[in-house]
Amino acid sequence: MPKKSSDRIELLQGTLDMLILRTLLFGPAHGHQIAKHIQRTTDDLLQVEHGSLYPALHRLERKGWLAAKWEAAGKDLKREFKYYRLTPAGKKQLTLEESKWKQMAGAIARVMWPAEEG
Amino acid sequence: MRWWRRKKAGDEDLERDLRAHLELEAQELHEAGVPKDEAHYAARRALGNTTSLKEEMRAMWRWTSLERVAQDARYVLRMLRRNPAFAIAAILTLTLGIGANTAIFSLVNAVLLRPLPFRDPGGLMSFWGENPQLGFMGPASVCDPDFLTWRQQNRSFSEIAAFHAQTANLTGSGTPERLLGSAVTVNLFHLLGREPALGRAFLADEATAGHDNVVLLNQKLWARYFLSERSILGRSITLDNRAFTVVGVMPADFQFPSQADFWTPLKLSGDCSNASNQVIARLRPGISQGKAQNEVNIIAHRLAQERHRGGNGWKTSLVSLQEQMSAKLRPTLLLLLCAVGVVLLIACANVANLLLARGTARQHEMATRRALGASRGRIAGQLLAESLCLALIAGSLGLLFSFLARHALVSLLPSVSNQPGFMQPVVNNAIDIRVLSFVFLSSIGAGILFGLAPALQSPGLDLLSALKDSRAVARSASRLPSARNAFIVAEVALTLVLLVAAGLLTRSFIRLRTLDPGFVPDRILTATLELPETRYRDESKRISFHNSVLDRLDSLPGIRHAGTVSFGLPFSGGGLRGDITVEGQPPPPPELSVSKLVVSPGYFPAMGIPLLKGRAFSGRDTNRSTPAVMVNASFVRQFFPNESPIGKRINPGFTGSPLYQVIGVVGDVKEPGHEKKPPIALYLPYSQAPWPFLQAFVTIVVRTRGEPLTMTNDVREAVQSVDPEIPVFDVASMGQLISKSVSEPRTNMLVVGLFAALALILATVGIYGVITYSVTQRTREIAIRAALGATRAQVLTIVVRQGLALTLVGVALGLVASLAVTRLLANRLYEIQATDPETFLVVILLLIATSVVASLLAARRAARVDPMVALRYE
Repeated sequence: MPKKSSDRIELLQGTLDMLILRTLLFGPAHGHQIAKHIQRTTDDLLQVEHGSLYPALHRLERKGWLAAKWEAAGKDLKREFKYYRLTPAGKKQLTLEESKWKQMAGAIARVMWPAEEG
Repeated sequence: MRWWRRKKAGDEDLERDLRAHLELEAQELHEAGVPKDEAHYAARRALGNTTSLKEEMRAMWRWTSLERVAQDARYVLRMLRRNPAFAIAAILTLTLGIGANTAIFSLVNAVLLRPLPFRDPGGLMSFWGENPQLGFMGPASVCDPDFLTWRQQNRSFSEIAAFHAQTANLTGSGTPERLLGSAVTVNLFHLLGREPALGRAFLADEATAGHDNVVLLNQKLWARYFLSERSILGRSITLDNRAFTVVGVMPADFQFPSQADFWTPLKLSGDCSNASNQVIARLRPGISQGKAQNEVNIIAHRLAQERHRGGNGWKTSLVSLQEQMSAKLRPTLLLLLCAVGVVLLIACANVANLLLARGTARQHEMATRRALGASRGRIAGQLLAESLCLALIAGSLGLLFSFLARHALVSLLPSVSNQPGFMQPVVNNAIDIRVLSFVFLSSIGAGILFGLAPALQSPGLDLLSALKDSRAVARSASRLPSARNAFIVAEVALTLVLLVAAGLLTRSFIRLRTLDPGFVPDRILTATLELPETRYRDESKRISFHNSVLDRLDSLPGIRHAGTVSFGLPFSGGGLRGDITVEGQPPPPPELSVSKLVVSPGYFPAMGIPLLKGRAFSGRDTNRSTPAVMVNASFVRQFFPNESPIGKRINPGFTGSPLYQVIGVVGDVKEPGHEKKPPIALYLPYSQAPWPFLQAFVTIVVRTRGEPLTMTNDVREAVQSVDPEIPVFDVASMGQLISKSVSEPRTNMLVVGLFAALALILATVGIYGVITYSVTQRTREIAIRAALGATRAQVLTIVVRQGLALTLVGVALGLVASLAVTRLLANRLYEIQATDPETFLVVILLLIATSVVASLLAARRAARVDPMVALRYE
């Protein structure tokens, strides 16, 4: 069950893209799986708004970072899902965003906890 | 429409993706124990508004921008339909501006931009002769040996060819016909990269004697005279009594040199006394014009030394063929293009003002749209879309207009064909991609130009107050009069420049037309003929032909006087000029050149040139009597300022000619040419013409009793009753010749005048519009003034003063601009200064008067304001 909304953290703008790309590093997945994966790995702390997930997926597809394909899945292969896959360009983008994120996180940390830093 | 399909595909894709998600979500909830229906709704709730999601997605893909443009366009069209008066005013103004520009541009395109119909025309160069001392610039005249030197010594040209114009009488079947043709080196067609439409071009050995009796025909002549019979190939035709075998037919659009009906091979001789060839060449690939010019300078220098012609100031330069063919028309076209550009600027200013005025009225609408969430950019964009829409509608109408008027437009171009050596370019002003792009770009440019002000105006608006209070709109708009006034000032200034230009050109044209030519130009008919050398080798034959024709003409009841002149007929271009010497006087300076005309006794009475002193030629002056010469008044002023010229002897400067004794003095004949003074001229009698060709090439001049052109057939019959194989050509009345000689100034005057009138109308409308608008804005102020006792006249004065102030600022700016601009006109003006104060004064008064009238009309509204009504309304 999802946590109460007050516990959830709003995603920082731009981080959703990174999370999607990172999730797809494990292999192709459809939108629902991606959302579920993010939620599960963060212990439901990060709730992916579906309303922003799908536009984000399509945006990434358009930029060429993701490739998509319709495939049948489910118990009886009756249902079709759009599976998103990371492209080489997407992988490059992921490393880029990762390093940017690290820099930013480091910078914030230095402001927030200056003493702790060596 | 591909984007539309792609958009559809994208939409469907998203919908499927979302649906799959919803189903999975609902299934999971259901499995977790939520009832099926509820699970379905919960899943939907979690996803949010799918429609807005789709909208958002769509905005992400690019189609939206296009879709938005279409949306804006639809909206604009709706707005325009709702406000037809505005739409018509704006579109009409712009159509005038863009249409006139398109029309002129289509001519510029045809003459200056469209590549010549030859292979790789950019590499084609023409040899050009320049002599700054004599003020001459034109095609270089090259003699045969010089041409051979050029051909052998140059390393810059892949091919080089020579040609000269020739004429011939075509006889054989039916009426004899006078043809214009060209003798060309056999490689000319290959150099230009054109093939005959039928048959073959010349072979290399056809430039040698015995093989050169071959001719190529122009397709038009072939169609007209030989009815396009294919059997023409190999047939023999008679040109100037010589038989030529037709080897081919050139396509109709091959007009080189222009108007050539036929081509014969040019046999190169070793004689350098008759330099009559023009030379064209094709640059070798990789050789620039500058590099070729360097080589040309070196060879020209060497030639001048070898032939002992050094130091006479002549310079040979390369000019691209395209440039040469358009040389005479370029200044006129550029002048017109500038004038018409100014008209478009004025039209833009007017429409910008219209839009500004309407923008103020629409502040409320804009504020509402902003409040409903439209971004500033979106609103500015929409206003710009509106302007572009207007401009494009006007552009399409303008294009239509210039398409319909395309034939009339060509006839607007001044004729240059009577200027020797220059080629009349083939004008094909069909609408092509260049014209289309011009219309499109100038429409877009104009749309942005006049749309910018209203678009910039809209965002800086105080939303709340605009929504609350309509008066706030007026207040916020009161920041704008500066923009509106600036437009009016600019319009007035531009109009002044155009009016001054038009005024100067008109005065110059009137001077040209009212110039006293020194003869009586009404009721003169002229016609030219040329006796073929083959049958008229004997002087006695030429003289007897000449006298018989004149006798017949004299006996016709419709003719008062008949005479002839060889070359030098006034207003027909050309003529013989050169140096002379007077017995007992030192030779005059070399730059003094004298016109030399050969005439029959009847020439002076036929032209109406008065005899001032001594006697005129008569039948007594024959080829056996004492050589006699007549001179004009300017001649006497130059050479005999203090003595009587009668009895003095002159060497007229023709090689081998005797001394001629002066027997009489006639009045000067003036032609509006480049010189300020009438030319110094001498006349020799036909019977004593020093050179045979002066007797072979003759223009008949007759003074008729009635309308001159009705005598055309009588003149032709008189000639052909003496020799049926002599065609008569260039038949024209003197009136026609004069009118043709001023066709360029007339075009300049008419077109610039038309544009100036357009500008004046637009500026008047502009002033009226702005003053009317400001009167509406100031209703309250005017009402208070009226309530406090201002009279109607006082109110009118206030309003008119405002219009006058704007006009005066515009006039001041326009004066400065005019003084700078009209200097460029100076060499197109005849006997009038570019700073002619009268023209400036008249134009300024005209502009001021117009603006006062426009303001007065607008002010009547102000004077009618009823103070009680106006104040209560507030």
